[in-house]
Amino acid sequence: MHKDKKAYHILVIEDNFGDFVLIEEYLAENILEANLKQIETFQAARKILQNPPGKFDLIFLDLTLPDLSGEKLIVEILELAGDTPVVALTGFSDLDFTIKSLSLGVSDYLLKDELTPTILYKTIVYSIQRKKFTDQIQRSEKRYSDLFQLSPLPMWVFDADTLKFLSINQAAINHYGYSEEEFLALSIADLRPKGESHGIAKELENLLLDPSSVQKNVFRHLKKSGETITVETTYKRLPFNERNAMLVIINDITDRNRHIETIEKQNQNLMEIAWIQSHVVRAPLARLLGLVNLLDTETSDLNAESKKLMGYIRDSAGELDEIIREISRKSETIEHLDKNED
Amino acid sequence: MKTELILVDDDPVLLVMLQKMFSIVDPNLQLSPFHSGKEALAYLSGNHDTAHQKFILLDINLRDMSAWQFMNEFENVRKTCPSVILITSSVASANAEKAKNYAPVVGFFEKPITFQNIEQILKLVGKH
Repeated sequence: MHKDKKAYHILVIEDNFGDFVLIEEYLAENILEANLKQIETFQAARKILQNPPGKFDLIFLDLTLPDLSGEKLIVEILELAGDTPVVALTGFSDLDFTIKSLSLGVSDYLLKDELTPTILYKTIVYSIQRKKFTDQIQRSEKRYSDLFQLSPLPMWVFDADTLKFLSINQAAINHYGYSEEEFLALSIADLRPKGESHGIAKELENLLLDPSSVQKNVFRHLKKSGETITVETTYKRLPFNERNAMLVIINDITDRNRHIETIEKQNQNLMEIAWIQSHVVRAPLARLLGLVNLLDTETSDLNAESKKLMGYIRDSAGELDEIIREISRKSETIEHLDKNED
Repeated sequence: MKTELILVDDDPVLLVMLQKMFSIVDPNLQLSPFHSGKEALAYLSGNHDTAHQKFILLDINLRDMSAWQFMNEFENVRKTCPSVILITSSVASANAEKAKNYAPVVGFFEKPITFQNIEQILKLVGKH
């Protein structure tokens, strides 16, 4: 028979030497290089798994050891095994419990009384391979879960029919001040200020009709503290445990809006100041300029010194006039920019 | 026909100055000064003297109404508005643009009104 040339490192935690020899013999039939290490007690197994001389490909575990047995043994060994598959060795009398142990994370079980070289070999290859796949799936699941859980933006999933929260990420918990349990007892309508929760069903209508659509909205939300914030929400329909669910990403734009409001108010003030310059301040200035002109023609008999002083008044008023015109020109360009934006 | 110039400006000093300057340039011109739009409108609607050709020298920003309101009032309620020459102390260019949309407006001057402006205004009203 063709033998597996791959080298296997296998830990056998088994206090019955006869059983160990049997395993050793059977393995030799299918595997060319099977490096077995036998350990008889849980304590010894713990030592070796905590400071492994090399990584094991697989662990065989007898479910009754002199110092520990049953569920506690399984849990401890699985914890120590990490991503190494653990196969339980058992007799008929413990079969029910052994089957149950699969749910604890044991990869497979072998009945000692029915052991054959073929079954043993198949179990090893199958368990190693399957463990690789499940690890991959778990890592991938964790990655996607992290995308949601570790997102710096608050996110949640809610039931589109009941509006109840189904899942909330840490950022949402931090931002809104509700614990996960509190969130799960609320519906999305509870986050809206009084009188602003109507129309939610209508907002969701389009999203439910077109599963691929993404909808952005700006709402006001209440934090647990009662503080009102302005948020931009992005909705996307999401299949979630067979429910009609919506994934929501929340972007708090309260500060941004406040900044814009401040800037707009300042702009308004600047425009008013410019308006005062070009209309209000200029009125007495125009009067002054007119008076200087009139005086010029009426007082031709002034002496040279007085004429010079009169000239200074005219020049000063003229300068002031230029300044006001400049301010007015600048404010007109601002107005122009404003209109272009609209 | 004699020409009457109706001066409307809420700045009393300016009103005195304008009267003085016009009378220096043309002592025969009949001048009727008013401090508000309302007074001027009341005078114009009560006065049916057709012997005089009337012109209005009108400040854009009167305290009681704008020149635009003044002209609209004339066209909506009263008869045809006499020719209007607008004067303003504002340097905002939007006013000059807006003035183009008002048929009665025949001239637009920024204050201060100089003697050169007075000559130009008199030319507009058909004197000199």
